Amino acid sequence: MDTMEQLLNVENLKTYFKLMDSTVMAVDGVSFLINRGEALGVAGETGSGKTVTVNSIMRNLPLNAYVTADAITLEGIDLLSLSEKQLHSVWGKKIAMIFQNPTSFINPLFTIEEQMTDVICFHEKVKNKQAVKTAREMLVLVGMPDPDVVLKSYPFQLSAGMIQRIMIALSLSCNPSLLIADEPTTALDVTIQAQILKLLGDIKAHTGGLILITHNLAIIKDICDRVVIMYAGKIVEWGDVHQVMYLPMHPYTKGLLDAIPRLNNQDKRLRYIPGNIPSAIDPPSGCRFSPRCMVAVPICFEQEPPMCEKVPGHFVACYVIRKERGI
Amino acid sequence: MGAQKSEVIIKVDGLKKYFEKKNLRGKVLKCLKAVDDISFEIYRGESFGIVGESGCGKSTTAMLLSGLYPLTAGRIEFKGVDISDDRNAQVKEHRKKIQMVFQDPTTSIDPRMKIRATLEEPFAIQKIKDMEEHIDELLRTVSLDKTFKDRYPHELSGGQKQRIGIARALAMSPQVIILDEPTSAVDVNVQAQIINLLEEIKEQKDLSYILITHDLSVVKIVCQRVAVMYLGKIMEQGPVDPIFAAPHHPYTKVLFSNIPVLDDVRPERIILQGDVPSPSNIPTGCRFHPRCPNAQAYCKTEEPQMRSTGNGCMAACHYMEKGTEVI
Amino acid sequence: MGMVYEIREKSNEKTSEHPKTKNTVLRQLWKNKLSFFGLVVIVIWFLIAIFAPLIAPYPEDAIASSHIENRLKSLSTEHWFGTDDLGRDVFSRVIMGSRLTLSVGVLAIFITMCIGIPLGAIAGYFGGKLDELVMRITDVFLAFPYLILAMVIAVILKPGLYSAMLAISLTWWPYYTRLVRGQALSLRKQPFVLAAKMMGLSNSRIILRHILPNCIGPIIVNASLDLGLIILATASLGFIGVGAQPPTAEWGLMISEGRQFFMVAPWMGIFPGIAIFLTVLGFNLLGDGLRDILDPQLRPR
Repeated sequence: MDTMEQLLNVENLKTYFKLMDSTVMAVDGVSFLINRGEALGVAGETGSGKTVTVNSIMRNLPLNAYVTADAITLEGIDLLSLSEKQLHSVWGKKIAMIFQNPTSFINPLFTIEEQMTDVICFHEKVKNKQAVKTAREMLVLVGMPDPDVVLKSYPFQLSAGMIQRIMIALSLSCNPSLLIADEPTTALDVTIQAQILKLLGDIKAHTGGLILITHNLAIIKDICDRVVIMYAGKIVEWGDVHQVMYLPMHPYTKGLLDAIPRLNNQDKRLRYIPGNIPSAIDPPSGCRFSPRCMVAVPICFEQEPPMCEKVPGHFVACYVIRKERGI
Repeated sequence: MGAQKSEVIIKVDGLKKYFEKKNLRGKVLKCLKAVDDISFEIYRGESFGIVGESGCGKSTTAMLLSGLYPLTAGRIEFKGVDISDDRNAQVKEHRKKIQMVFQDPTTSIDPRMKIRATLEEPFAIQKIKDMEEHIDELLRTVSLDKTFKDRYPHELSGGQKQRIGIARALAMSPQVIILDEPTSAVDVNVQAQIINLLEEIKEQKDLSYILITHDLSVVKIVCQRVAVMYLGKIMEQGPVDPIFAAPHHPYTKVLFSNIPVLDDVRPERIILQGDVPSPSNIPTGCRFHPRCPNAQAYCKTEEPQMRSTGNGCMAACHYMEKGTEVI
Repeated sequence: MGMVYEIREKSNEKTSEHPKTKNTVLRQLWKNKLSFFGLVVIVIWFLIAIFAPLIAPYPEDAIASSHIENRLKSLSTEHWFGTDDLGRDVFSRVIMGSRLTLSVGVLAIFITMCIGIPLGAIAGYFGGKLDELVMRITDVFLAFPYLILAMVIAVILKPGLYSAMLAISLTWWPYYTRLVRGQALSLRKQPFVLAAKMMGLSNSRIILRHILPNCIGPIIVNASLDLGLIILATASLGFIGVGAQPPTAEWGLMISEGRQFFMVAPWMGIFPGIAIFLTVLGFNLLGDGLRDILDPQLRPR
């Protein structure tokens, strides 16, 4: 695995937000890396910090956010040291992002062609005519029927699925090294979701790497090579996707997988993890998951467990590791 | 559990809901056929699922069943009594026995009222005294502590708010509860809690559920019978197990193959081309024919009728693999 | 796994969804120094208005008196703001005038809200033809420049301070109708309103219990900003001559009377002007601060 080229390296990322009279530790010491040609899934529930993590990498955060990290490097470039202006040339060109609600991220006042060429001209420094050609090529790449008609259309004339395709096309138009997709299919219908997921799987070859953020573990299993499980601002487990999904080690991962209804499940009762996600302002001491953990031992409440590689390529932060088979 | 020989608690016959845009002279300019002639029966004590994608009419059906929209045509019967016309005072009383739990927990309770006030309202309407006791009982039923009475909705988590929504519905002592995407807005773990809670309540209070959702795995766990809707019509309906094991309608097959699942064994994914058409522009003949992988010439001209496919299931398709030949 | 009881202590646990601690409106206002200053100014004015007869050295000057021998005297220790053309103490008149200004302002806004809010709620909640009717009526009112309309109404009602107040209310209510109607329109589709309908709650109860309380935020913000404008409007009408009539010590009227003597006795017009300025400023600052506090909280997620 180490012979692959490293694309993005994040070490000890911490992001916190200053509120009026408290501080929210949204991300508290997250490290991971992604290699070229890989798809990494970042899974977790609401409040786990997964979106804040990628926004921290992009440095797309509100003014009251503070980001520190030992390193955030993309293809060797240290992203933390870049100025605002330098970042603008990274956004879209080296890293591209697509979001959950595609219609909110597109300008309703301009045609698709105008919006795409705007971005392409800015990054690639080409003339408009060339940009239109590139835009059309990208639309074809994402399987858009009638690309010429679509180019001349306004967003309100297109469906959410088509807009998401356009966003994907747009994000690929400048050949980014890294594509980040934040819940790209949550707002879409099942059949459209299947189309978009197939598309993301197909274009893996065209991008350097893909980070897919979602709370839906089944999607990650379909597309990603490796997965990172986040809980309360920390990574609890990560590794090869089949390893983590079939042989989960962390109690949280196991609990999460158990809670998902299965088609083959004969049992009418679902197992769930009791309790709530802890406060990000005042997190529990020791392991963040300890208050809800069924197998916690005294040390879990006192000290945060370190991340260790129990099985090659499979990392987990837990003192008590479950050796059962998953599912 | 088994509902085959139970009484029919809700019967829907030829239900239609059209939204028409008329000009000043009364001429119909545009007609949105949200629900276009659906019929089904719900037995006492069972959970009946209605699934489909956006535009299929499932939410409109929920609104019609709950009495919030007037119907354009058809009948709804509750325990044999026609409740379609809600101007009748007796009908109004019957309608109170059908309650609803809404999708978004945040907007489903009045943000300005304390939980106590929200739960007092249904008792006040029924002119029940000793509200405190009843409210405590309700909170116990949904596994929330009494201290929640004095909280405001914004102090509660999504899952807790959803439980309050369930408690409020229960306060009217209903016999049928319509669950409109009850777990779409919450995480998978909270979903598991709520689903278990709903099952327990159903058994305790001898309720019948109508579950509206796009999530097929939830249907498999919760429901005994299901109807699959597409563009205002039911494509297939029947007991859950046979339909999931061997769907007959092409749309059902597509849906089942498209949902991302964690299970190993899954059908080959059938990816549809194109978008979900709009209910204001319904295709001729079988409304699924533009996207149907099996579409034939006769599918464009004639609307298929519901035919029995064995095991209590029905589907409306001209070309069905079980060998029922079209005329 | 069985059912899980969630025992929650009052102040201990905070869920991750709402890190905000309890902040009263007052505390939040305190953080915004300017709006707190506005609040202080207004409180001071209200205190002045309440204790006016005790504060003013010559309270009788505010009603009817004349001391011709003392006329147009400049600022002095007996007359802090000087005297006007009838020898009346300007300071006393300004102080006593605060009573009129504030009471008229509050009454006017109250009447405005009594007319505007119910109309807006009914129009927005029921929609359809009722909504159309109410909206067209408000459109007619809003088509006129409000001051001119108020002037006309004040003249019809016979010029006077309370006519002015009524005139202002009758021209101002459409703004509240529009405001509330917009809110009601979006609120009536909210699930919690639908749930109330399903329970069989009557429409009037739904409007009173669910719709109106959820409109309060924008109403309060508007009201506090409007108070400043209403005071200005009252003064304007007084200035024109269709509001307060002499010898009333109304600030607008005082400025008007001071106009003729501006070269010889500018204090006649300046001090009432400053009084108006300070009052309106106070309400504006308070209103801005309230808007910052109340709006984000009320925005549905």
